[in-house]
Amino acid sequence: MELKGPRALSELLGRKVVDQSGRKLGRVREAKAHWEDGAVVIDELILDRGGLRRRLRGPGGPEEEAIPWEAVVELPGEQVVVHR
Amino acid sequence: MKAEGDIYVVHRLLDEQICDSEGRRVGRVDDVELSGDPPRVTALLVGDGLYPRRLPRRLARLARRISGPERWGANALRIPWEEVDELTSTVKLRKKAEDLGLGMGDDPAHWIVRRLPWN
Amino acid sequence: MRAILKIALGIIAAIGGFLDIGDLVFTTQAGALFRYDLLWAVVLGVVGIAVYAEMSGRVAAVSGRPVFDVIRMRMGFGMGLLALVASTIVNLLTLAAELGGIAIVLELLFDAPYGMFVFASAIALVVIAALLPFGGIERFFGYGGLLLFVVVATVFHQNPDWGDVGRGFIPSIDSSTLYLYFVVGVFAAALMPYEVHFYSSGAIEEGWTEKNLKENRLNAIVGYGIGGILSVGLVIVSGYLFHPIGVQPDDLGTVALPMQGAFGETGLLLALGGMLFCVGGAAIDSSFAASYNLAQFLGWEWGRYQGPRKAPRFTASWLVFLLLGIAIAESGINPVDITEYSVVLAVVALPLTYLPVLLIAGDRSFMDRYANGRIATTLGWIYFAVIVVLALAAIPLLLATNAGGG
Repeated sequence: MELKGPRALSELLGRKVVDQSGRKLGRVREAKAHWEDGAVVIDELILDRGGLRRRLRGPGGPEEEAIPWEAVVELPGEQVVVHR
Repeated sequence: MKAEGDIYVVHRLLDEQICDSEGRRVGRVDDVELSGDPPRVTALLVGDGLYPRRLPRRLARLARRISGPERWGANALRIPWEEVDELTSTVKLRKKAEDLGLGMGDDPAHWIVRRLPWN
Repeated sequence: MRAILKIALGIIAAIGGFLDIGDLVFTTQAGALFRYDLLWAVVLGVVGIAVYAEMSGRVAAVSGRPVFDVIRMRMGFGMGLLALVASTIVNLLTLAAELGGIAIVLELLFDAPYGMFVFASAIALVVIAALLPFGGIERFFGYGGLLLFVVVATVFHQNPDWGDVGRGFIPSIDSSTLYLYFVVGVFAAALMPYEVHFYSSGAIEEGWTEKNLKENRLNAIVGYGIGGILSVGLVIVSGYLFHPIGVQPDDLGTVALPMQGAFGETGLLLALGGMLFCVGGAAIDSSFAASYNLAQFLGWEWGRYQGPRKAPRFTASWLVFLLLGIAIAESGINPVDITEYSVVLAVVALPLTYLPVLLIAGDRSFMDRYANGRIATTLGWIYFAVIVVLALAAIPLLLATNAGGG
């Protein structure tokens, strides 16, 4: 999905992520990116399914789920709709 | 800036201390600007005008009433990503603070200048 | 021999005042009420601050991050702000208590009104902070604090029943709420977070690197160990003198009485002098901790070495905190009461500032091969559990015992 205009990371963080049938998958907690010629390019949104343990453990734990950016369909209101 | 591999943006970029080319501390990464497809980091955003966004929704409204709206150039500043030199335990910039409009809060001359009647 | 002396002096300089008014108040009351039964809680607290300080110092040396940088970076803006607000309130109350403590001691030494001394001591602190270099400040209060070794001398002069004393080091849980309140109080007074925040910022100011890690460990063990010895001593001398006659020490002058009993006027003066330096050092540490935390969280330039011109907001905030501390100390509330609240609130807020440091200290991506080993990890998490339990129990116990008044 192409971002219409620049967005702030804080607008994505904390958003509820749902699939196209409306089922809740989690909340956006982190964005995994890679270095490309000095630029930081976003690959995935990392969700957590709620919980203190992820916050404690930091990125890369089993409570997480990664959604590739290509799967993001739209960003209505306070949500992220993804294709699954 | 040459770097490789993966980077977790919240874990290693957001909320990091920013230093200018001379090592002066000039604020923290209060938010990150993303644009393009796939999105890439195009700027770092600094300033207390950005704080309300970082708080949970209910608190954000209260916070905005306290700190006032975002005023780009005043309480919200944009540092283009190209100005970043390297990422170690701080975000190090290529230029000096003044050249980027940063560090005004710690510039005593600026305190006085801001209060002059014609500013 | 000279190397040992140099190291010892360095440790003393690094830790500054070993005790603060919280330790003086809680150890003396604990001794008077429960004789030697709370010695184990003192040791638990002292080991706790050594653990916390060692981790914070190591994180600062290896990653260049002081405590509130770690907090904001690891917990994010929202939780970090909560930790900052809580920490600032605690530091302000602590500062007010220490300023009040200085004034009380001066009042005892020179017999002039308290109110005047609060203001005078604040001015003296500003002058000292402005004139002495960073290391000089710590040395000044550290060496002066050594006067309190008259407490240790008093212990041996009193020659208590060592069997009873020994039994005090074995943990025992009495069911009385007053006892439990003092377990929390004695522990919390030993583990005051501002000390560690000040220490970690100091490590950055001194430009610490991996080469300083041994020094860091020595500071933590020996430096806080000395504080522990003095705290244990205070419990013993107070327990020996006050417990049999049922006296409840409720002002600072009473803290010095056992030393007067043992060594007369000299003992009294040494005790009061040592108390003055310790509490004075604590006032400096808590006021700077408040400014360090604010500046680090917001990303301002900070540092005593930077001076007012390079770090104006940091300097201005320090003066504002000092003024607020004076205002609270002059407000008419008994400094001993302010102390009780500052200590209890400190332990309530402690999990917020302890956990992020524990997490980063164990994170190899920040600490490389200096991350927590097995001992540090185990100790670190055990203490986190202890701190959380005490943090949850603190306010209910404070209310139930009417701040130790019974």
